[in-house]
Amino acid sequence: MVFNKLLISILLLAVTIIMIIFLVFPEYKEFRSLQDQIALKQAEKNAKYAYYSEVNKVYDELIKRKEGVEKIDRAIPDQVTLAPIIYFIQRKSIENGLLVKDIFFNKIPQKVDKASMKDIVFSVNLVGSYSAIKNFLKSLEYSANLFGVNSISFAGQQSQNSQTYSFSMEIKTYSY
Amino acid sequence: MDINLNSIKKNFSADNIFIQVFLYFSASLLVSMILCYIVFSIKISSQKSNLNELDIQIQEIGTKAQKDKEDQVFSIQKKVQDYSKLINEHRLTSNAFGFIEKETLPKVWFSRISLSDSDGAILLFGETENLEALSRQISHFESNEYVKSVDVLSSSVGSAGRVNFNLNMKLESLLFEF
Repeated sequence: MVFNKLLISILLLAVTIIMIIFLVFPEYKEFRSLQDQIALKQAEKNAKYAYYSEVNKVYDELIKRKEGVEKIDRAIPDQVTLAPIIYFIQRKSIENGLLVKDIFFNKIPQKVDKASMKDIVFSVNLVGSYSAIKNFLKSLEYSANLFGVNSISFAGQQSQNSQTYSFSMEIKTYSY
Repeated sequence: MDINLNSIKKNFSADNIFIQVFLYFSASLLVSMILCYIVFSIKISSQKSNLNELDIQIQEIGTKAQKDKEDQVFSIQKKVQDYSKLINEHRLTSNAFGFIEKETLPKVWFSRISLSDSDGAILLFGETENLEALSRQISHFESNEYVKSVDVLSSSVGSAGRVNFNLNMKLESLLFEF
């Protein structure tokens, strides 16, 4: 009887050990691994949620400041369009009493990479008075469209009534 | 002999208790391990369903509309960065004209000006009444805080005693700032 009990005890213990090794421990490992995965997923969810909440907040803020965004869009247009540039130069030169002799585009960017900003470089030859060119320059420099003057040169031409100058400018503007 | 029999009986009885305890211990250990296995199985199944739910929730967060907004925000953010960079680098060439007007001494006339914005170099072609006036003009430019350097490229005395000259000046970038 005692021997039987001892044998059963040993058998039970052996079964328990086999069960721990082949069933309970692998389950425990899977349980821990899933626990870690859940923690990671929860963190990912929280981070993603916080990220998109921030995106929404920034987007709403930008919608509120639509005017500023439109101003930037005007300064750096999404597309390379030369007609508005020519029109702008023509209009400003007439407003300031200058005559446009010619406009020549030195650098027109290709529409390959829309993400990066590109330079459009052009040369303008103008005729007019010194004060007219000064005003023209100021209207370019302070315009909503961003224009930068790379170089300017002029020489005087004495006429009968007033002194007129020939101006040659290289101007740079930007687009995407 | 009687003493020895009692001792054997006692030993036998103690062994029996020990074996019984061992049996109960083994049995309870097995039962607890079975329970553990069941508990872990239930937990794992619940964790798996939690994980699936979390996956669905994560996918629901970045919807197409939200991604469109994200793209717009990034695009505007890039434009703002580019714009502020351009504004910081924006230079007022017209300031150079004001500077020349202000710093030109009497009896000095400029007939041609050529200005390069990239390095602030300015090439001046002009005329003075005499060499003394030219010398005063150069010295005046040299002492100005906005002038980095002045080089006289050429000067020649004309028929009426007037001096034609070419000057190359380098101006401080501060002069072209807003």
